[in-house]
Amino acid sequence: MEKRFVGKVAFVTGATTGIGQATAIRLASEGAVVGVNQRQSDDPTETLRRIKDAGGEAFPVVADVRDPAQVVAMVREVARRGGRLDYVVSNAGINPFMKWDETSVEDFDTLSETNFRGTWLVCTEGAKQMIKEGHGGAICCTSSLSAHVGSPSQVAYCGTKAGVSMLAKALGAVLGEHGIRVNAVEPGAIDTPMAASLLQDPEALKYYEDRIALHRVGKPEEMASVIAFLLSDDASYLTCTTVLADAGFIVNAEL
Amino acid sequence: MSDKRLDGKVAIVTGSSRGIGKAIAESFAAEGAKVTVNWVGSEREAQGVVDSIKRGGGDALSVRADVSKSADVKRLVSATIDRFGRIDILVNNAGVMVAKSVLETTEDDWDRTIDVNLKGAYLCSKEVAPIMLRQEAGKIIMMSSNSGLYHPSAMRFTEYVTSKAGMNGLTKALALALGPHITVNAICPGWIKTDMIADTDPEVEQRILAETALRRWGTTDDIAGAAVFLASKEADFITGELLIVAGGRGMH
Repeated sequence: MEKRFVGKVAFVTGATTGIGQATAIRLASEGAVVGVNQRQSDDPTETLRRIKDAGGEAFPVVADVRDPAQVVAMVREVARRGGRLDYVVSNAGINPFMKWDETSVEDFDTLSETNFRGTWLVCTEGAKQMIKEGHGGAICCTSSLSAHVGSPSQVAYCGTKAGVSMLAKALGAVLGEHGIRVNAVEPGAIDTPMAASLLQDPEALKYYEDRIALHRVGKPEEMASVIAFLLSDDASYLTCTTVLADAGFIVNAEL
Repeated sequence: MSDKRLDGKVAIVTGSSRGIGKAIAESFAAEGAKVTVNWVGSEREAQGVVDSIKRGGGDALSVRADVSKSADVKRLVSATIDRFGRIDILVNNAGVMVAKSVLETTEDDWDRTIDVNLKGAYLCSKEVAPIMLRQEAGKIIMMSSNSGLYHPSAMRFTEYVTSKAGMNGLTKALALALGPHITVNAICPGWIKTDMIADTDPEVEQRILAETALRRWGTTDDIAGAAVFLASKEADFITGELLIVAGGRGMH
């Protein structure tokens, strides 16, 4: 494929595993210089190695998206090392399965500060940098199928992801005049470490495979290709859009 | 890996002599697909699209067919098979719009709009589906409209909006019925500069622009980019989805 991101600089939050990792690799293999975000405790080795193998260029950048000062420093660091900033992928998120009535206020705050406030911080700070540079850009948020459907063990998570989808739309509305597009992908059941505890249960896996129109769970690379599209010029008139990539899970309501 | 995203694929794009359909046919060809250019009233323009594709080193076929007539649709599909041997992509793009208030439209306006936009998409999908199922692969794309979702500018286009809402339902129902080998998705364009809306009131145009986050009209190429994505393997895990390509219209 033609490389769509040559000469561009991106960063991806939560890029050491799963969809974030696949996205960082995809963007780098299409020519972008990629800041691979990790928390202090995460190991970026695998992502960086696979980017190098693909002939791409990347560097690790440490920040916990719950910490505003760290997010500001991360954006500055990416722009300094890459020389500019064109694309932001706000992907970092957590999904601890917990019963609705056993979720503490602390649990809720951690979820919300990571998934919801973290997305807001990362996108806002990234946008400020792009506006300062004056060349436009694109932002993509990783939301979820859970922005639309509830799950007994993911009540708070669902709320944060609905918030992420709406943030992308609301931010897109104000950033259009700066030439910055903002969209979100809403992945369904994807084979990632985050979903492993769920999908390892044969019964749960069967439920998903039966209900999904394509009768299989997705691969992280299949979300990376959607995110790459949303950042690319192929999506030049897409902003404030959420792309549900659940392969026909929600739509399957047997009547 | 080939540089071209639709290398070796065969596509039918209905209503592709001009506007969005033309841009999609040309983009598909540029990405390596062989394309059937369908038309009903504009033979010369359709031939122009075929000629431009061939000049670019691609292959294309022009077929006259009214998508609201099942006999025509059968001919459209069989002509494509006879020439190219398979069908990987169908874009249900052919559409008409009557710009009158509901009090002024006629029963014929209703029938024509529903027949071309909605029944046409149904007939074409139904005709290609068995072929795609045999191939165990296929992509169907509906050209819907964001007016089929939520839009106030739809006041004057009652039949059109209804037909597009119907296409959105058809998209989801077909996605379930035709999985796992066929994906079915819709593109919901916002205000795109084409002949269809050429005589829009300038005041309305200004209002729409003010409501659009990107502060510009969409182009037919903007839609073609989204269509290439949905037709490519890049979108393999997307089905039953309505992709809004509207420059952020209506988000303020």
